[in-house]
Amino acid sequence: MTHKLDDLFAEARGAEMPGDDLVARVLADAADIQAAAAAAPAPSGGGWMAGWLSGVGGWFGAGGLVAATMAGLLIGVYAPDTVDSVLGGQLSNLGLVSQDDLLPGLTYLLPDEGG
Amino acid sequence: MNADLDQLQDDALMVLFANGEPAAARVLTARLLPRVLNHAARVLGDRAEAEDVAQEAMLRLWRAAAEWQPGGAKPSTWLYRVTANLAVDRLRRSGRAVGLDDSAEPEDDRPGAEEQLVQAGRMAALDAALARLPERQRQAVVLRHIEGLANPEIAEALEISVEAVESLTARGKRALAQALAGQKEALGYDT
Repeated sequence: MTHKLDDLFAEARGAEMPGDDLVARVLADAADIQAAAAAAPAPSGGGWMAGWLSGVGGWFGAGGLVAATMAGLLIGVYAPDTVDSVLGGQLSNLGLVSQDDLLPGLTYLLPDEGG
Repeated sequence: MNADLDQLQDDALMVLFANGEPAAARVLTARLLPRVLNHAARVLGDRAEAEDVAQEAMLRLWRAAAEWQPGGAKPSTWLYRVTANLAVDRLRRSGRAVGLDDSAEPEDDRPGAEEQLVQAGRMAALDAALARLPERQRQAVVLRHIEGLANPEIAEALEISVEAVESLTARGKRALAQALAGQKEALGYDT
């Protein structure tokens, strides 16, 4: 009997095929769900960090911003000649730094030679 | 487009569906709806109710798509679980549930399988025999022997152990064989 039962099981497999009407109802439900999802506002995943990154042009923009900030800090911390040395004299070559003008506008603070 | 999507696995189609691809819904429906309907029809023994359950199960699948995790549960297994629960709810509401005791034996005061065979054919007889099984046995037998799922997948769908699945399917098949024994002529088999 067991193998006959297996035959019956095989016959039952796929015995109930969905009609066009049921398929249409299921697809209509699917379309409704997709339409509702499309109409919903996009999730704000990522919080302030994602917003800030978007504002500066994404990770690429943020990288440029960090590089510029670090360059500015370097120039501010070290004397121009030091920076020029680090850069192999590129600033001097471009005329951006004058070796005899390391403290422009501050000579009045130096003690008078005549005392 | 459908031809390309046919190559994809169900969970990839779920992601595409969540991204608004309508063809993904068509492929998933063609792939999963017949299985869900067949499962519900054999468990419920009623085509109209099975269609309602199948539509509801598919609707829940669409709703779950946005949160679907690729590589996690298989959509088909998830769907079988939803269908099984919906079907059990229907059986209990209508008072047709046999019970949860998986050791229960078929009741003797119901119409015999032979009578059912004569009246409505082999599928009706199978449904009648299945209806005499406890819910869990019926679900396990349908998933194992009709839907062709492996025991671990049935265990996941019914949220029970693999050992419990083995026990349920063995008991269920024996009970079905007993209910349909001696009905070769009515079943239309020559031997």
